[in-house]
Amino acid sequence: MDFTWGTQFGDDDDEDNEEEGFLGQSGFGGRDGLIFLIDCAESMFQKGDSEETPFELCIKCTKNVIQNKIISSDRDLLGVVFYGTEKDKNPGDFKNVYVLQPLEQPGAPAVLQLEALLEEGNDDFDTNYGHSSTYSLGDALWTCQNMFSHSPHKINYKRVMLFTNDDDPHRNNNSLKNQAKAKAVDLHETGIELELMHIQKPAEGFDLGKLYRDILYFDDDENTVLADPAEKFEELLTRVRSKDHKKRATARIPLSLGKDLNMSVGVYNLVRACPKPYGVKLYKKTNEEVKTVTDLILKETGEVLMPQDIKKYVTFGGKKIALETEEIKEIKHFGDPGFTLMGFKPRSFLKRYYYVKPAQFLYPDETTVQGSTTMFTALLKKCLEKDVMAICKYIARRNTPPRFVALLPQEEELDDHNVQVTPPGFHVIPLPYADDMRKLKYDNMPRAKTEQIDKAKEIIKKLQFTFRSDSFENPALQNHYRNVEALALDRDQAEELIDYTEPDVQRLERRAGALIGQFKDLVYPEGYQAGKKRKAGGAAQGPAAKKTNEEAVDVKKEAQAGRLGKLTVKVLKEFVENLKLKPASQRKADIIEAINDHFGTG
Amino acid sequence: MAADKEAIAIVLDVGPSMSESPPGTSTPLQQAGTAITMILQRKIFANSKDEIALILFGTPNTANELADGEEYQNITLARPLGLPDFDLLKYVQNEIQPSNISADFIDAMVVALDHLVKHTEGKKFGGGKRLILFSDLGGEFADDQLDDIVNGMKQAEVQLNVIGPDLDDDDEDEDDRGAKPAANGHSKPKSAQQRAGEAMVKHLLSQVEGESYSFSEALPALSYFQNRKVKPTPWKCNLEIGNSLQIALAGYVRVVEQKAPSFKNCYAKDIHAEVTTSRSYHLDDEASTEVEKEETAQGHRYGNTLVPFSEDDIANMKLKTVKCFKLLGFTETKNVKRHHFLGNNVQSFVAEKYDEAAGVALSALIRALHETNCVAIVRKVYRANSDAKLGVLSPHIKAGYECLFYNEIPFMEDVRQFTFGSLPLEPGSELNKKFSPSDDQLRAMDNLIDSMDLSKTSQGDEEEEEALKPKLTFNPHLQRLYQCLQHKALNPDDPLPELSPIIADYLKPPQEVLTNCQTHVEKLKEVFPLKVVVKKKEEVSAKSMFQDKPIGDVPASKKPKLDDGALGDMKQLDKVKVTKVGTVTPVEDYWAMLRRKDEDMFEEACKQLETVIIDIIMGSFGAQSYPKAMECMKALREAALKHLEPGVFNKFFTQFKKEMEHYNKMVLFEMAKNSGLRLIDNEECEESTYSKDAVAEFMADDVKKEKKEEEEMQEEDADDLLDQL
Repeated sequence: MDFTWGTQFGDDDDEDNEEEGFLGQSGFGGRDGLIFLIDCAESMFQKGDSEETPFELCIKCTKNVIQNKIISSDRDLLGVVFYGTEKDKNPGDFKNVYVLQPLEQPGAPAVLQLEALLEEGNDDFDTNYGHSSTYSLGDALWTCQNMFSHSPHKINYKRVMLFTNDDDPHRNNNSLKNQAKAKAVDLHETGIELELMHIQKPAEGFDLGKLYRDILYFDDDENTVLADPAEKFEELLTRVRSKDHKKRATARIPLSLGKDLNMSVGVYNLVRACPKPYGVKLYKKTNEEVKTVTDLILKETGEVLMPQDIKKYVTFGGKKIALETEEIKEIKHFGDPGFTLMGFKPRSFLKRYYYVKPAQFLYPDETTVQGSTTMFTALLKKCLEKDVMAICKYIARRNTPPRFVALLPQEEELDDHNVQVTPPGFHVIPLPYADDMRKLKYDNMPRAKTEQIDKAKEIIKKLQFTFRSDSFENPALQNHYRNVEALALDRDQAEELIDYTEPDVQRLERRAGALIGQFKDLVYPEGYQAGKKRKAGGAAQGPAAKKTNEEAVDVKKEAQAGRLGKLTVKVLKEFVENLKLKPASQRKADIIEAINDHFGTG
Repeated sequence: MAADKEAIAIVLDVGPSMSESPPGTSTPLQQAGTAITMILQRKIFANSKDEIALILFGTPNTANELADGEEYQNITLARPLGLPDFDLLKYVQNEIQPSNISADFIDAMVVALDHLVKHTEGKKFGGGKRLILFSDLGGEFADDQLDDIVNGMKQAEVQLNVIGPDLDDDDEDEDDRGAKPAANGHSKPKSAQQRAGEAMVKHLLSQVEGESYSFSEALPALSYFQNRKVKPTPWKCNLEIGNSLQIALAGYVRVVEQKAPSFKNCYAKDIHAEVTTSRSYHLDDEASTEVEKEETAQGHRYGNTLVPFSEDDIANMKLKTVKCFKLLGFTETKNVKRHHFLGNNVQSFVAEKYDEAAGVALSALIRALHETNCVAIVRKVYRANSDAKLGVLSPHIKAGYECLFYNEIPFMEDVRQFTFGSLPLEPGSELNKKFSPSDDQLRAMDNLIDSMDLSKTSQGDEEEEEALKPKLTFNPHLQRLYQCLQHKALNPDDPLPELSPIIADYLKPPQEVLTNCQTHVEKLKEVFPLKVVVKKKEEVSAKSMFQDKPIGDVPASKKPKLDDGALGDMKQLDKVKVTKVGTVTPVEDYWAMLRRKDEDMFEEACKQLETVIIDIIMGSFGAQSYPKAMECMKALREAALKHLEPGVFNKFFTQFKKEMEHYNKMVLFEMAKNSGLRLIDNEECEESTYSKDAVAEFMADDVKKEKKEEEEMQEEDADDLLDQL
């Protein structure tokens, strides 16, 4: 082939390296930029019927969005700009424009500063920033534009969120009006989206016609009735802690249906376990980040080995076998990346235990090979009609060994509002190799009788629900987010966490308690206790094991009596963990030593 | 675990019929040699503690522990029971010679059995004992010892495998293990002697419940050996349904990716030298100051804030959990998507051993799930304080057993909601209509699918059989890795060996399918026009690769439109064509565009350069980038002169002045003046509409006066200029 298929990522690595680096430091692609532009004219500080002033509402939204962003996409750049202030602070020396937070990655100070603003109240604001009615909206917009263009980062999507309750800021000044309009055009043409977050003054509407219709950019003939502001604010005030993923292909590679018959497909990850973010190493004195350098050292001479001095080895049959790094790559190399069709099988041939790693998703890529979409659509349509899946050999990257995969046809699925729930395309299900399957010997077990099965069916009926992944947050991850946030913002306590994976036992019992009781009577002999045999076996291990069950082993007493050696390692370990002691190793002797050190015994 | 190790006696026939094969095909002996090599490779590379003995029969000499006078002749114990090593491998590969002497395979088995029993006595072989006979059963045998051997094997609990000609066995198939793929069609017809031997072996196998494989199956058979070896450790836990019902279960890993062995680092010049890793910590300052590990602490990022975590924090933060396996509820099977499965394995849950009550309870649940087409959603905590997982339990019912398969499923955070365009799957689809396949195209695709059915490929005269069954398909990478490691172990300085054809064959569709689909593939090529898009090289020109500011600053509508027709011609030109003026090297880009011979880019280039100039000025941080803007303007002027188009520059320059006045940036105009920029007058270039005097007046600093008068106009002009951009 006389062209290169664009693979966007390191193509000489094997395992499933995810497309995005942790914390996004990998530097692929650009970031999004968002500036909150907040009207600070006096009327924004007047309480209407509601509890809070419009200004407070704006700051709350801003703060909430920042907090959400820090978790969802912390590479994004955020800025906060006041206009209509008496004081000014901006690189262009415009009057009445105050850049509170420059366009950068947000962190704890940004959140804390906004919280302080909320607490301080109006008087402090008057002193620190003041109000003015002679501002120019155009200047404020220009400031935002400059902030975007001065940013050292590549910004993909630029957005300004304008918060105001004044539908006619320059009512007596056409020149300022025109300036604002001109700047708005400018913003639009430089790819900056302007979004209006308007707050209605009590008993007044917000008349777009006065000015904003000419400031905002509407899609062609879209009607210019603004969405209900309350809804938009509500959205901004919702806390969501979930990492955002930018839709992008991990690779664009050929799908070959035969020799010299290659369409191009984009490969996407639609589901991947979202891990807890990695920690960083900090220097205790300054809290600055510390880089970890790992060197390989020749023990005899202390010489630091460079990559060219290093080979890789494994030990087999008592022998060290060394290979060059290049050779290891070569062993993994089985051809160019892509999908190669092997044939088709009925969908039912895909057994439930054919699973080795998460699935991917294929969608045609017209940008590499024209005509791919049509061919892909034909393949998809026919696979759906015939209820078959395509079996392919899949080489994900240049030096990734092949895997056989099943391409499961997927129809587009829409919800009641015609919003896409599942996109059309093929799911790529990696198939296990013989090497990956373990043959198990199953013991002969008695089978259930109809009566027992029927009772189980009744229970199932009572405890049925419609499962959706959306309803289950990952408790460990959410806990982590909340804790990091609490520590960063110096809170006494992390925000409350509800673990939705913990079953609501009361509810289960209420719905099916009686049935479960009947089922037990049907299947279990009287006095039967599940797992009892296991425990009985455990107890047979000896007196030490018994002690753990009693729980109340007084380790201190034992230590004083010099009897630590008689306790099991398990008990000792537990104890050490509770006390957060650090034994030199997990060996019994070391653990005992650590405990003795702790109590000054031994 | 050493306690699980297996003792294996490999009994190999080297007699004359093993060396007979149709021309051009490998002999049974060669095939057996390959199979044994692979067994040994797998044992060695799996770091298995299994011990292996090798017994050859049909050898010219006799060397075995039972040999006595006429008895047990031509049987050689080539290798007593021990860990397999590379020497043994070498021996199998290089030193096994075919002979023309035939020996009794029953005798050989007796020798092997005797050896196995004697040498395992008093030692722990938790994995059991196994005898593998490699023979085409072409030699004569005496069946008088048959009962002895059956009894002996039963007593010593030795398992028997026979790898030889295809035995038409009656496939008891306790699992869904498919029948073996048939021999590849070139096996020689069986002799009467072989048929007698086969009958005998079949009898033997049925007596001791052994299994047989054909040579062609030897490789899949290996998986059997290897996988049998893994002694599964169950994860035991009660499945809790509500707070009153508990079912004692044990989960065994059913499928998990078998990873390649991991490599360690060593010194290239002396692989035996001791190498250690040192970890050091450095500040991000100029000197990369090293700090002690004790001076560092763990932290996490909160946006751009680094948050230190004390040991206490870490301990307190951890969500406390207890080991559990709890039911959240039941749901219809379709609610859990097949493509949502997560995690790194599939587990099979059965009732805990010997607990029949649990067995009944589980059986009822499995059957009920199956009959209602439901699955169970569970919370699983592997052990105290490990993270809770969400999982699905699906019923699996076979003749011999029932179990629940456990798969991990995603949390809310794990699912990415990406939206893709609709595809025109229905004839009337309006969306993306232009991509609708025609009837012709659909028919061609239909035929292709029919011609490539893997679900029942018939091979030879055997019955139809599913091809590419995962359980019979090997990971070619592991096989290749073992092949290379073995080669390197014996020949450290050699290059890597060629990919073995056996492995290469795995990666192609079955021959039958390839033949069948050929015409349909050709038809597809005909009806589906596919055109490789030549990547626009300029997209990766110096400009876009190094620019720190995106071209996105230029409104889309103003981006140069490339004539699509021109693209075809461009691919012959090896030089990168510049079609855009970027902000990084605008002057260079500009000149490069003007230099282009294939297209007159003057107008386009000027327009773009003007845009860039404004961008640079507007985007400048302080006065930082102003000099660059000056350079651009100079270039614009120079080119305008060269192309005898002074108007281009003059128009821009007059607007530039007005713009600067409007935005109070007259410093820039001053700067331009000082760097020698001025309107082009008609003395410099005849085409100019400005006289020398007019230019002088324009360049004069007297702007204040004009400003007021022309305010309105300027504003319009400013808009004009901006509009242009």
